Amino acid sequence: MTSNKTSEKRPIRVVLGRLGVDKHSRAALVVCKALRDAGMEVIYLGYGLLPESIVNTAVQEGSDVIALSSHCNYHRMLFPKVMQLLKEKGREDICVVAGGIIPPRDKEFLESIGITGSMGPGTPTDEIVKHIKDRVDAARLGHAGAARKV
Amino acid sequence: MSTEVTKKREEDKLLNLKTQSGFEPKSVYGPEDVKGMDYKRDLGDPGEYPYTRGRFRDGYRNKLWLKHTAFGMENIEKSVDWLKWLLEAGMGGIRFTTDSCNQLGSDMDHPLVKDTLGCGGPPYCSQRDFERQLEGISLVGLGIDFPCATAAWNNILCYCSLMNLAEKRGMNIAEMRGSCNGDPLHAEAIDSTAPHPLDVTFKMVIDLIEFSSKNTPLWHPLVPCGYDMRESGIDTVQEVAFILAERIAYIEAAMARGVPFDKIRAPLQFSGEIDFFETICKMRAARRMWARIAREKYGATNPQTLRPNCSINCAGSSMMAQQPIFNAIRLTGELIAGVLGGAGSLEMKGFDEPLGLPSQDAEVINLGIAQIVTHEMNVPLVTDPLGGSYYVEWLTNKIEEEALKLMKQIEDMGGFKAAVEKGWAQAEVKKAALKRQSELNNKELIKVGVNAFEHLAKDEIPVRLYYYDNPEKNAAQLLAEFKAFKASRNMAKVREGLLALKAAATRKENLIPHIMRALKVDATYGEVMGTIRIASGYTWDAYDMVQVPDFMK
Repeated sequence: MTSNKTSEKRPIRVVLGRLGVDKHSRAALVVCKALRDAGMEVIYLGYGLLPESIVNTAVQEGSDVIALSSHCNYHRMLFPKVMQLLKEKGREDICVVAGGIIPPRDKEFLESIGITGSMGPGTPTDEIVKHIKDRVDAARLGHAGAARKV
Repeated sequence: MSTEVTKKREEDKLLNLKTQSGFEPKSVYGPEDVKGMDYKRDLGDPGEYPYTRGRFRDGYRNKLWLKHTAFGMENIEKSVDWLKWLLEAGMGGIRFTTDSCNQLGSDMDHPLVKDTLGCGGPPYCSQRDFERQLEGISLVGLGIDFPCATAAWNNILCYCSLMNLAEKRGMNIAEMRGSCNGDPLHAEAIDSTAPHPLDVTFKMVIDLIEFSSKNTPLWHPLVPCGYDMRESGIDTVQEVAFILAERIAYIEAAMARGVPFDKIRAPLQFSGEIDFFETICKMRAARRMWARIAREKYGATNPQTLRPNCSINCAGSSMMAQQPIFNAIRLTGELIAGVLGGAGSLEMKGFDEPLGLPSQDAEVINLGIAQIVTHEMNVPLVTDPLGGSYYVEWLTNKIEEEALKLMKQIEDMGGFKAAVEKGWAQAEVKKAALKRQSELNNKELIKVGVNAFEHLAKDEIPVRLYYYDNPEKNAAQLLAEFKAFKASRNMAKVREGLLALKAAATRKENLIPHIMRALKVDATYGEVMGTIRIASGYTWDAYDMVQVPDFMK
């Protein structure tokens, strides 16, 4: 397993996008700005993405986080593929978070496969920033199981 | 104890003194605020130019507003049953949903959509699928709406499919009523990276307007839309200005083709947002603004084009996921505002809009709201009952004043199409999106249960959401059925139909009759779009994930 993680305090790098054909863009735009204002580096891939594209970009760019935005009920069908691809590439150290329209019972399912957050419309942006920071801090300290506890 | 109660009482006050779009009204309005208004010039009775007070004197006594809803379950069979229930229950207008392949204008087996079929409603990408959705449903008197504004191709493909079906059923398409709200300018303005190029989609819309004006004169081929831009965060003034400026852009392009102004039927459609008085007043302002533009700039004489139908589409983004039952209250307010503003048709969202496909409970609630507002609250009894209110007339005037300034700015840029081509509209929408979030963060915009009164959303009042089992199995089955259908076709006929379409597109002819013919011989929606794209010099597929099929080479 190769990893770009070091113990240095380098900015958190996030790849953010919408899988499939999901035209709801306001949330992604707002979250990108909030993360950048908090000092993170954000690569915004827009929409029309296959799971492979977002995972490949995250690996190539040395990202800490994949942030998946979903408003069309795609999360149940597409998000597990992201986790599967990360596992195949030996990059389960990359944290995966989700946001958008995700019903409460699906939030539990996503957490069971390692995707946390699932914050919806109205979430204050600093809560989202904190969640990502906490996940990445835990991952950088090497706690692989922390994904399910945060 | 009494100090605590006193403290709580003191805290129970207005949290902000601005309207949703940032107007800062005074506490009281009076005659001095409407000085200079002339009744005949600025208001008129309902049914009289400039139609500020409404399209018809008798208002809702003639006809109540058309109750519209989106219908669509995870596959066509379930959707048809659902549609029959809705029509039985009192819905008069239906809007097809757009699943992912319809959003994209692709076939169901496109890599970007094949794994999520059914999540956004039943996918349909052929004449056969389209007809299955209306099996056993009478088309007579049914108000059909094809969405969505950001997928103009889907609108047009549905229109062609519907006219094919009507002819098959022996109907005269000149009597077909409904609307297509494809709006490529609006789609470009939002950060949604429209998959198909503006030049292709804009021409398709003008083709539809031209064809419809001659063959389906009762149809609305155009509904310039502010909905998605409003969802993205633009305010009421921008919404009115952008909708009217877009209207002008499309109408002038159609007129350049020789379509007379008075033959272009296009309603005014607004977002039914949560600010009560803004919704009422923007409708009144826009009616007056448009009537004056139609008469003074275009010499309109047809009442249909002077006082177009005014419709409301309740704002999805006004619905919150926290304490979803509160959305029923929001919808009630939005409906009443729409009715007081004179909406001729009104689409309500489900209270469960932020949580999934609309449930049956959501439709029952919406019909209940409409019937209670009508028959218990007596809201529609009098036409424009708020006419003459000092505040309402002031706010109507204010919205018009600000929107006219913005329209002048757009006109100076060369019109809304130029504003989009220059990226100006996109920049305005992005700015608005960030502004809205900052207003939510700072509590300048209140959302009860979300950024204020959170204690009211702590324990969720149980609701029954619509879930369906095994979405993967559903998607796989839809895909298998589609592949079987594609393989069962007479490919020689499909090829012939598509080549004729390609030739017409290359010659820049009106594509509507050619699309209709291609669909009749079982060309798929994705194949029709691919053909139009390659004839226009683009790749077959917007994402270059699907190549030109062998039978087309």
